[in-house]
Amino acid sequence: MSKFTIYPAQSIITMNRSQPRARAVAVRDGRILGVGDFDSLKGWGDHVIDDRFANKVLMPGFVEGHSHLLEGGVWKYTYAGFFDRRGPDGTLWPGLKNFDDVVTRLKEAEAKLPTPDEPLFAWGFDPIYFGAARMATTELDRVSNTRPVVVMHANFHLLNANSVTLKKSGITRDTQIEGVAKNAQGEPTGELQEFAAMFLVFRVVGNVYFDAGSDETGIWNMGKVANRTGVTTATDLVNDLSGNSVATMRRVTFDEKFPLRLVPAYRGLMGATETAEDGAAKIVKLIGSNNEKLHFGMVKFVLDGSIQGFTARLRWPGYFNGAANGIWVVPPHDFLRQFQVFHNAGLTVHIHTNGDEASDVALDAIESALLAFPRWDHRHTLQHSQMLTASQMRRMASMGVAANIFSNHIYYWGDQHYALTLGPERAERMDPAATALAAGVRIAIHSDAPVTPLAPLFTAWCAVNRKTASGRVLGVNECIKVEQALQAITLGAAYTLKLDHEIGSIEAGKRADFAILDADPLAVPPNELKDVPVAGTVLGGRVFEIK
Amino acid sequence: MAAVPICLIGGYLGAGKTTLINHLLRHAEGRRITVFVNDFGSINIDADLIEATEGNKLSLANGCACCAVGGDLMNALLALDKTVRDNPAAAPDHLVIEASGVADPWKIAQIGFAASTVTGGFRLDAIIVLADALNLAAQLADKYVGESVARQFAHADLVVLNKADLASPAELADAQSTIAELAPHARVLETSHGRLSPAILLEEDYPERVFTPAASNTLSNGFLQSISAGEAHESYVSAAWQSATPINRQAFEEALRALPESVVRGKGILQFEGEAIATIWHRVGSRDTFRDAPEMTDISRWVLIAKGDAVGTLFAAFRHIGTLISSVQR
Repeated sequence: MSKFTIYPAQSIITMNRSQPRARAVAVRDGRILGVGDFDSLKGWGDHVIDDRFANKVLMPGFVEGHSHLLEGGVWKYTYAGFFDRRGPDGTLWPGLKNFDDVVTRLKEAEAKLPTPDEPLFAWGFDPIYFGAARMATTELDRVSNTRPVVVMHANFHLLNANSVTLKKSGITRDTQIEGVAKNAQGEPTGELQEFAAMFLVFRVVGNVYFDAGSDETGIWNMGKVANRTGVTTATDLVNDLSGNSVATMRRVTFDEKFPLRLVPAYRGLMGATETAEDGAAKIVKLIGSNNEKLHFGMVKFVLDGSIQGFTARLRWPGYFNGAANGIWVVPPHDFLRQFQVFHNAGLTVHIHTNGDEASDVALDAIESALLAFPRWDHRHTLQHSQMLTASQMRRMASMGVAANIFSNHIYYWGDQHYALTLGPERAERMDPAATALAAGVRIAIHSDAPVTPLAPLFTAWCAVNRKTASGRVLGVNECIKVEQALQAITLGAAYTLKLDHEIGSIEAGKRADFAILDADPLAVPPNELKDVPVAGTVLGGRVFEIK
Repeated sequence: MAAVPICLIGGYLGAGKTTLINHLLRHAEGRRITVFVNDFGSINIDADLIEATEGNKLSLANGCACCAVGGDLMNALLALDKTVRDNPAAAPDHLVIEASGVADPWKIAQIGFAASTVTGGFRLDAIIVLADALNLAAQLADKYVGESVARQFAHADLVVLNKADLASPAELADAQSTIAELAPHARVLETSHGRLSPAILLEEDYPERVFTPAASNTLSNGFLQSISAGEAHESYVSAAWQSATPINRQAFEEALRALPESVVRGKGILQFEGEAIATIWHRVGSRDTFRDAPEMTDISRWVLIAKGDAVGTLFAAFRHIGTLISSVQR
């Protein structure tokens, strides 16, 4: 037998209840040979001791159960968001708190573009943080009067453009498209909302944001962001699984230097050329090619929109500000039919439901599918799950449905939910991790990166502290304990991906995937959980220290 | 470069959108129609009609094409737009977009409101929403989709009340009055199996299809035949006018306002008094659009299509403006 390695650590948080804490872990062939202390491990035979983690705290590598490869892709472009964000190369991009800051950031990026007419693309901007003020061509024309400047908003449904872009796109005061915002004088402001208005820009500069995450650079960037945040397994929670996409993912993940296990989920109901039956057959076939770093078997459906965009489907009494109910992305009846196909094929289905009415539709579909085709341990999961009611969670517990909760929303949009979208009571019970656990629902918590940053310790901090950007504690009764939050970002997420037998805890037989931390998340004050420094990851025994 | 006219086909599941589209593709009658459907699942095209299959696109032997766009209409439109810009000859005569069962066709139709200011692109022709004569009431009462179904009708130009053959007179009357409330500006076409002529569903290119060039004052038979082509389609009446003297714009617009609700389509090339170029006029439902023609015309010509047998009323509106040159009733 080859020698194995023993890593002594300052402490190991295993997430294994029969041995919650340990001082050393032994690794052989990419797997955990044993966990305990040096004396309990040396009996395995010839070993070497690697004490590089002697002053580190090890946790199971974090699992992000709801992210997108686009998180890697967007970093090809300039970050223009309100909150601080760290790029794949470790650069910290400070949040831009006013329009002048946005202009300054874009000017710096503009100066670096090689040719005078190449468009400047940015992302992550969100006007919701600027009150009534809206960014306009007044600002973006200061960036450039010669090249198109396009700033995609954080929700990817709106963008801002400069006058050059408007001119090239043929957008004038005469353009009658509803999504072309105009000022009091009737001139377009440069803010273009939704599909038709954005089309005019994309036909001139290209739809660069659409597939930014699916090429090799995008996937590599995703790996780098993951490495910096302690993530060793992440989902791409909607992928066409086309031959091309699969080949690219295979090529990148096959590289031993790529530090991430990838779990792409098939885009259910959106597949243009495939029936649900064909799609299910394709996934089943792909499962046969699963390897340690590329895992197929998940399906994703999107039922409604977003709460802050007023497109989520809400039960009575609807939106706090009186906005009309949101939209169905797919007809509930279609969903019912197609869900059954993927359910019957033995796959795990992740269903985007932000609003409580959308959750009802999802649960009705799961119940009817289970009646028609009983299955145990299906692990169907409601994704976002933001407005789940206590009764819905009791129902989920009975049917074995998991919740992957969008806890980051509490910080980023909690103030808006309190004041505008849901009102105080429902805002304080949104993203209800505590009630879910009390009801016996298995939970994960997530970032939906790039919508919010990939950083599971931050997500855990949100679920524990429930602080909004303004500092309000949004529903103290839904706060969970640090231990519970750490469970949610490891084993909890692994469970929803049917990977909890392989990853999510540090115990003999599992993959040697660790997050390397410079402080003990269970020892720091809960309010500082997000500040615990990540020194890197270990993936299948290979160490990826952050340089 | 001319904009491609787009026709939105909306309506909830089961209203017959794909049946109507299948009918349209089978009776394209020389029109090169590109159809965007959500998926190929229910499109039923005879195998011998299919000339080539490439990815998510089927090319048909009759010059039409059918693309499955799934949830990605943006990229499908961008791809078609690029094809047309690279090679204007590849532009389809019509783009027909099947909206998903819960989509609001009005939102998609916005794409057709930019053509006045950009080169090429898309120009809204019509918003056609299908209603299931048997199940409309139940769909509107559905707690999940009721509002979405209602919203689809708000901006409809034409409402196709489908499955009329299966509905009782009382059911039909109920559906009619519901639609009148939901779609106040629309004209309603009763049919079954989507058996409507492309001449009603789609605007025509002017003036080639409507009139034969310089063939005295007789109307080309091609167009009128197409709206009453044997047993294939529902029957409609049509009437065509012409005028060798320029038309008073105000009088023409007044005549339009006086048209009975039985008129579902109108189209023409008009030379208004004192104007340097001719105007292309197009009506669908109750909505009129006017746009500049490339040049002046010596003879103004226009045609109306109406349901029922209201030929007399049709004549009345334009009696003092032009000369009736042909009418057909089947």
